[in-house]
Amino acid sequence: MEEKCPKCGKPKYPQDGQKPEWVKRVYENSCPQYQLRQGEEGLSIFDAKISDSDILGKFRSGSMIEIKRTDEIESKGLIVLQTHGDCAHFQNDELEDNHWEIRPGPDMNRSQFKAALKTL
Amino acid sequence: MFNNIWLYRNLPKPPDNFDEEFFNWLREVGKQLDVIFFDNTPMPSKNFEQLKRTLGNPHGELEYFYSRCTPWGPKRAGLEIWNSQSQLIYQQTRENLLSRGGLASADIESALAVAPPLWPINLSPNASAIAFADGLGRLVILNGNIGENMGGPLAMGLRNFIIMTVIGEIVWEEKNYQTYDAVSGDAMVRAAGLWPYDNPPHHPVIDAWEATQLSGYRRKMSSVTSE
Repeated sequence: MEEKCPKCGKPKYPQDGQKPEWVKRVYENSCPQYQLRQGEEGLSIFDAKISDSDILGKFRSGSMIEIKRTDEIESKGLIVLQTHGDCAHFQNDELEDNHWEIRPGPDMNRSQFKAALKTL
Repeated sequence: MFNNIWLYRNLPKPPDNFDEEFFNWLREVGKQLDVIFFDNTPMPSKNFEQLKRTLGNPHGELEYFYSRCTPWGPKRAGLEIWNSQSQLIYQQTRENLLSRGGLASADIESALAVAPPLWPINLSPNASAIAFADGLGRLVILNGNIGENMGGPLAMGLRNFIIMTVIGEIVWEEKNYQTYDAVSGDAMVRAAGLWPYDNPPHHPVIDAWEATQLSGYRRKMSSVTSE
């Protein structure tokens, strides 16, 4: 059965988006660019076609954007997966529809996932 | 408790108190486990004042926590996110209690009106946590994810909750769980919350969670008996 967001009822894993060639990742200077927070199963990224200002408008000041090629991410054994993202946070269809995540590759455990993220 | 896990992973043991030394420990284990544990930025004072205006004075642990961490992390409109999340929590609580039966809407509203307010601890799609101060002065941490686990018991006190979260990350590495839900259900993680068997805390949100567990049990039993 298709998993749905309990907040808005949209599919958690939409499959209508074409995988972007470039993606953007929001980070803060005080932290590594590709580091998980507690409870995160993947790292949030956006299709690079979304403007920096649209993305940064949703994050506190001081946040920055890093851009990377999807194939570079996948070359580390990681997966780039379209996900619904946090609708309560974005409140914007364009951001929600162009939200993706970096997820562990098949058979990759949590430690291997973190190690792969460190190489980005 | 859990001394072996720190020794086994060659990690420092958590200090006994909930103070600056404890947060220094948290940053150190975060570096070693390569995870950002709780946002290392104080809640903006404007937001803190807004929360106090709505919810009253916070428990002392909460006040200290907010001076170190922002529950919504780097999300700009965090307070609006919290407001919408708490509305959903109360809405689901009403629905769950009504579906359990035995209480009229007016009874539920009365219970909610006198219940201690809920405060945000962590807002994220998978790992939301909320808190309330009970009549015995204890700070009680509950699952804040909208869905079937909402209102489920997590921990007594923020120190235990934070240690529980760190142990969750260690267990995630060791046992190769696929989801954070599975991590949260691990026996060792649950034990770290030190939820009391005697004199457990009460809140309508916990009752609503228990109602969903009971209906799940009923569903399971009816599928067994109909086979």
